[in-house]
Amino acid sequence: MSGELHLIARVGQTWIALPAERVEAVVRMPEVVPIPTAPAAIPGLVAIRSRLLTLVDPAATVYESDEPAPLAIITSIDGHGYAIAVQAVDDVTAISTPGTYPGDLAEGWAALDPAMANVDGRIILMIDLDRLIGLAGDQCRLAA
Amino acid sequence: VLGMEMPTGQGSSGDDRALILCHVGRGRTLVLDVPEVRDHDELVIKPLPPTLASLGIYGGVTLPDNGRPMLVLDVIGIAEKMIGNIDLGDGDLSDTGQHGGDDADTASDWLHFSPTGGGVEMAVEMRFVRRICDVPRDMIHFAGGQMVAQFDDRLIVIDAVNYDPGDGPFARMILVGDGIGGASDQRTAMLPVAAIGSLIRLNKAMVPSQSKGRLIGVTQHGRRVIEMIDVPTLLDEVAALSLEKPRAVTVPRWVVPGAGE
Repeated sequence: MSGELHLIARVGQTWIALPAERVEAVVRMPEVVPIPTAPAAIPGLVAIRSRLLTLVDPAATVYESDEPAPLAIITSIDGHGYAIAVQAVDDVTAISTPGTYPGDLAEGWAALDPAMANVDGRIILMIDLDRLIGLAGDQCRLAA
Repeated sequence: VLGMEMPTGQGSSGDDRALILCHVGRGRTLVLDVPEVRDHDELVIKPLPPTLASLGIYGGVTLPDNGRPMLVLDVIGIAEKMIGNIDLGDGDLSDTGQHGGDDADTASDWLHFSPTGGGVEMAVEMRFVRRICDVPRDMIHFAGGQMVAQFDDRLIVIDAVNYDPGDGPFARMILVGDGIGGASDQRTAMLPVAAIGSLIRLNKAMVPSQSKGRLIGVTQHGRRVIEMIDVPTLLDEVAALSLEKPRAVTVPRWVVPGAGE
């Protein structure tokens, strides 16, 4: 199957796909140091292999769920490391022909304007990492 | 500031509470009231991710030896968030309410505020400001013919005519003192405020107040007219009416050999 490789993960009850080339690692969630005054979308800082990462909770960002996230997907933007909290990770899959979501997305997800893919009969939202982290940053600005 | 509960339990007793004086330039000092000081360390501070910069109260992040991420506070950012813009520029004081020809050496820092009950904005010189505090409504009383606040185990006169603390759970006050009598027994008073303004540079060489008493005079800052409070005179008046409880004074005891105590 041709197409770009994506990591399939679950956020709340929603399956998402993240570009595999942007994923540095998937790790068990380390101890989270909370950030006072930060919104739920950014629950804290974590340290992984002596590297400081800002934890972003996509479920809180899109108001999806408060289910504990046992895994973190590591990525970076402009030299800053981020850990994306997810409920589960499934597989790495090539996605070739993303489409649009058939219907109205919930408000939180709609803010990310995701494309949609159908992988083995499962609806998957293709998430732009920059946009996800930017949305969490916007919620920080509102909380300030 | 951080919206955190004061820690309780082992290692966090009130005895550990401390004030951290932060010199932020231009002769200005900001003070952080912290529940506990643990240690000092040399740390490599890493830039704050853009996502967190907008919070305005953190200056960076670091990873100390214990491997637990740590946030570095931005003291100036905190002060600006809590009490308004702080001018840390240098040189040009032309827009800080001074009259023409004033000497910058005679200017000083003032905290300006809106008094309760409306009226002209007021300012108090920072060297007299002890704290900005939220006094619980049930700690404010009319007693002895005047309003008083129970605060830090003392009764402190609230300096305001016909003061009404309102219906809120707290009343915001500026605690002023002049240090006379020592740090533990200084003359103090509370100034009730509707809103705290910002730190501004004002010069004393200005048109004096026509009425003698607790006002030095009136100045302007931008388009605002500001009354400058004469704190020593105010405290003179308050001291004459003071309801402060008698406080035990600890006097060092010295024994001089051959001369007794």
